[in-house]
Amino acid sequence: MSVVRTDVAIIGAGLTGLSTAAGLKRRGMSDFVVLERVAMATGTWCADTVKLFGLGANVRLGWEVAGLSLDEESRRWLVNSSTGEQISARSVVLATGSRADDKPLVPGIETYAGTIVHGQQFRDLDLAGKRVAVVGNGAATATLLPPIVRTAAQVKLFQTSADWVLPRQGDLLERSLRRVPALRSATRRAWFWGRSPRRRGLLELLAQRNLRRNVEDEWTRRQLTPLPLTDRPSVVVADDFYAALQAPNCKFITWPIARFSRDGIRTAEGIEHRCDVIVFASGSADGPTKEVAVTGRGAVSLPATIATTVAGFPGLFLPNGPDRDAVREMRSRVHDVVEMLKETA
Amino acid sequence: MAVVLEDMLQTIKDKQWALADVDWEAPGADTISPELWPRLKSFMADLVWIENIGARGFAALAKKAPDPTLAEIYRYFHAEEQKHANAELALMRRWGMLTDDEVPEPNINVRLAIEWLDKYSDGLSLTVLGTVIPLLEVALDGALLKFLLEEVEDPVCHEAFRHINSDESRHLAVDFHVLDLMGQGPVRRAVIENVGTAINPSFLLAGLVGLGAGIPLINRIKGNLIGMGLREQRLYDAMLRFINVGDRGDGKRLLVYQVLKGGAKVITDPENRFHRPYHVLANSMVRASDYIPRKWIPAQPSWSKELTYEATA
Repeated sequence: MSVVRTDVAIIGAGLTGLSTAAGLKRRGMSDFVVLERVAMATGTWCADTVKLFGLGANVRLGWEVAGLSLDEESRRWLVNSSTGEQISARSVVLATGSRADDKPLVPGIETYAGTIVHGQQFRDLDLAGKRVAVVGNGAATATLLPPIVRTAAQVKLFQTSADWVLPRQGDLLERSLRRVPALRSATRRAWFWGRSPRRRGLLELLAQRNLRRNVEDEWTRRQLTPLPLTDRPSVVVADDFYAALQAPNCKFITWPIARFSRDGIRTAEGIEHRCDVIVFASGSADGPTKEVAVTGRGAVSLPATIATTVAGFPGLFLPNGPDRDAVREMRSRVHDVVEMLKETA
Repeated sequence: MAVVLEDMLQTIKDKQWALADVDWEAPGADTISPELWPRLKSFMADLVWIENIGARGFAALAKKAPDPTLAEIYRYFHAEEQKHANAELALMRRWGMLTDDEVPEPNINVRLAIEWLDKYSDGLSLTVLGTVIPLLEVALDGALLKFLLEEVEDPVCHEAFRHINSDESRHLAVDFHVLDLMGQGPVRRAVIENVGTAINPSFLLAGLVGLGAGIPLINRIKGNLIGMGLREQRLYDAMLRFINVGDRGDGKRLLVYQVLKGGAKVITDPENRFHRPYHVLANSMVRASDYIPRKWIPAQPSWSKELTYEATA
């Protein structure tokens, strides 16, 4: 079997992997591949992002990385897939998710007796007649809430910080505004990076208009308006999120989660919300991070680290920081990695 | 009273409790005497709504907080005030005070206060909100809750209020910490802040309407309390505590604080020359508000319809 040669191999097509890919593309590099072990459902933010940045030719779906090792002679990395395919890359970006211990963000998760799934995994379950709790925000939540609301008996969305939502098919004004390159790039930036505190740009005004048109209740609108201080990427593009949220079988809960209990989720207003299934929308879109075996110089395995680069692993970049939720931190690390890749190109 | 906000947030998270932690069916419900029952019922109904109003105040503060940790703390406080209201409803249900298991109707003055909060609270500055809320909390914590625990023997009530008081102690610590912070800085900052507050038209309007809603509310509640046997002085002592603690920090440099302090003195000090005229006015406002047709008041905002006595949903 022939070995595919490429300049950069990015492992993982999550927020970090696609951000790195988009960064490389913007810096004029095109000889890279993004390896993702699962297929992307159309309409998800991943698929949208691939389309938006024209990454279709670079992304390989269903490519599960079994391990990667450094060839000390050629100083190139050999990436092996679980099906026996091989890619030889000068540099590798390991974007397989946060390397933080998978400790629960809120206490008591180990006591919960129901089913817990991550991201799109809910599609493997039969949700008919079930009480489902969806926890999270961002594009992932906006994408998976509508199909869940359509099938489950009762849905509760737990979200303490909201995102601005833009319609996918805007009206004439929005469409023409989006045709302006400057605004389009602002959309991209806002999509990925969020905004500076206290600055409400044009994009947010459009999103505000979208909110006003789709949500009648004033208090719900207030809860769906992001705080000026949140440092998440706070603009998502979704069409039926607001409709799903206001469906009769869906309840929007903004109280902070206090803890998980055997039967459900206890929020800080003192109530236990019982549910059969908990869907964690945020975080890795496809369940817990998969460990990839990495062998560097002298057949040494990659140690646990929070650094971006590690001695003995030349050309290997680790853009994921220690905190699974720190988008802003991820942003600067991805920026660093892209700069380093550009310099060594 | 040095408060490290990050530590405070962690403590708040660690101390979370739920309605399900309390056994609402435990024995002791029959300790409420038939004489106390009707008075306690109206007292509790007021209390539930005051908590709900306080909750809305914290929601407004969360939007105004200058840093994410404080915003997060206020989000928890918002939820905790709601929890207190829910727990008090659970007590009312335990004592058989909820007709058809329904949440008690807010009285006319509470309704006006809800309308005012819904309309104006998000437009108020951190300075105004951060000064008014501690006063309300001190009055609540210092007078109402302590009084309640003296009157009621029910062990479940005491258990619930141990949780509530523990939460309230953290609310007060943060309240006064923020009040102090807001007054800090060079003199010119205090001057700018005060002039800004005074000439802000939205504050003036909100303030005027707020007085229209707030003065009769306070006096109606005071009337209900006295009906239950609370000495007026208890309420006044609590308000004086606000002044005592407030005067120790830099919050005293704030105009809003000084106005509230002056107001508290008028309300509480019988020697004050405005004391009698104030109460004559306030009591007539209470009576007048009974004549306001309900249909003049807009539909209740949805945030005020989320209360529940059910521990699970």
